[in-house]
Amino acid sequence: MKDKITIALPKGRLAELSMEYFASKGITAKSMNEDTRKLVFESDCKQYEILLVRATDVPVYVEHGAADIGVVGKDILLEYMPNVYELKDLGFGHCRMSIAKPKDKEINFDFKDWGNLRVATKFTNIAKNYFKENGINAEIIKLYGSIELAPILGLSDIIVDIVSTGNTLRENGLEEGTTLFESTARIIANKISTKKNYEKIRMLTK
Amino acid sequence: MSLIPEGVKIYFGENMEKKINLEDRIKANFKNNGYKLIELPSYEYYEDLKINFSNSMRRKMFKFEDRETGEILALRPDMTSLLAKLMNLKEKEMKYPERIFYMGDVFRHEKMKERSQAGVELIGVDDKYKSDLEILIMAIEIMKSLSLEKPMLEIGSIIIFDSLMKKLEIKKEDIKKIKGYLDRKDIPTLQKFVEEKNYDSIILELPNLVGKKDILKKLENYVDVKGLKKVLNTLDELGYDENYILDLGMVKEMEYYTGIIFNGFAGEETGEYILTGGRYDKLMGVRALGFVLNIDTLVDMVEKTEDEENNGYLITGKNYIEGLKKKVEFIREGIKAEWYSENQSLEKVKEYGRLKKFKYVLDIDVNEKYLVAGVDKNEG
Repeated sequence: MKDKITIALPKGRLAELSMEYFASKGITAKSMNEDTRKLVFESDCKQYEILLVRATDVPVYVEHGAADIGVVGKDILLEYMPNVYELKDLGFGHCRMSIAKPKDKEINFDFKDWGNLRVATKFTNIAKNYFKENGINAEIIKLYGSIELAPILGLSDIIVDIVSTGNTLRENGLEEGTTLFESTARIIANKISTKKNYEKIRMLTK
Repeated sequence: MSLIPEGVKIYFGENMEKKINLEDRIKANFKNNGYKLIELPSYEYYEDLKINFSNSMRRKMFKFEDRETGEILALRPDMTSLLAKLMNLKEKEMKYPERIFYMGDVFRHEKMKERSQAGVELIGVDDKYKSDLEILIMAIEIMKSLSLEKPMLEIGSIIIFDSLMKKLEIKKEDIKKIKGYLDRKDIPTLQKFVEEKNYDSIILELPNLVGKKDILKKLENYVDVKGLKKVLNTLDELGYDENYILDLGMVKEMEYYTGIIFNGFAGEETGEYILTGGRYDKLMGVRALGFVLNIDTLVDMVEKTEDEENNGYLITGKNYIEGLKKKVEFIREGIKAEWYSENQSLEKVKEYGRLKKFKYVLDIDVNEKYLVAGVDKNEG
């Protein structure tokens, strides 16, 4: 049976912040600073294995047990609802899920007068649930990037997207409205691994 | 249409052999424990099924219409709820205790839409302590008997959770929310919720009450944990202390559980539980509990079964009628036999014979047999 704990981290800034957190638990991996193309690293103490994957893939690795724990934003957890434990709020990676509309368009954010609202978003499940719960008839248009373009080109009336500073929205002539929720990075864990390696995982999430 | 619908499974060849072997061993184990096989209907009235399930499970059922009555039917999403209905219908004919097991497929709109299951139900034993132990031990022992590495049960209790909620006077709709957070051990959201509602902070301990039985102490001042403790003490006494871990924050998707609940895992499999079970006294109208094995996951986990030894005759030749007669003769005697229908060289026939695990190729024209595998005992 393997004794190593495998940690899946989302590539980029969140991985750096996560490693700062894990350093406080005694886990460091010097090799991460050396080779930027590698995706799998061993911790200096050799007891942990660190994977760098796409943020949306982190919960997939953890749910299927390919990684024991992982770090991922609450936004992604709410969108994909993976069958994992969410053990800790790491407090960093702060952002919010918001609705935005073109600044020059008269749209009230309660969408009372709309027959059919077109919404462009990467987060289709979150958007679908929000409008359903609020009794708004919305057509959800799935995009994979540059969501801000959709209302400008008339592809959609509004967007639902992640906002951190709001600069991107402003630069594209969009105005932020309702915030659906605030999101930060979470430590997630595979359900069975949590039972098998209870003490180690508890130590990492205390 | 040449597509295979999503979520179905096909067993053939090596996997099929593994599955048959696995099911044979499980069946023998259940029978030896005194359990009787039951075959249940594949579908049931949705109206009767839905009372046992939460909304999320109701949505997962495959529903269709009864042509005669217009009633909605659903493919069985699990076996226990079907059995419960049967028990209630045939209550008068039942002589408790009943020990029943089942094998078959269940259907849900999930990643894998059809799943093979094998499970046991112990119905009508009044002594909770003894029946809890019978089922827990069977669950550990069945995993052991399948030679799985480090078989483990995670054990929790819905009755402890329910009593705690009652004791703390948690509102019904909030209990549902707390259950949802606990199921994901969503500690950040649970914390926010408990603080907002000003509930006792002991609730925040629940997701972390994982470990050996000393963690029961944490809840002793709130609820009665003696029942569970007694069961665990006996498990320890019998040498099963390495085969379980307590999780007092455990809850279940199926809403019918009323007492002990547990899931099983082993080896390096961390994607799926091997087995899942618990007590559901209200569902059956009498005390009842059981567990179900996840056959599809087990097939992936068990080693390839021992190859069967080569035996029987592969018959070839030009004289088809004689060959056919010989084949029927062998089959009547309980010997494996097959007619090789292609016109091929003896070498090719032997090759096919080896592949199909025959011991001999029989040339019916000259009535001569050739050994294709193993040792011929008769000829030394």
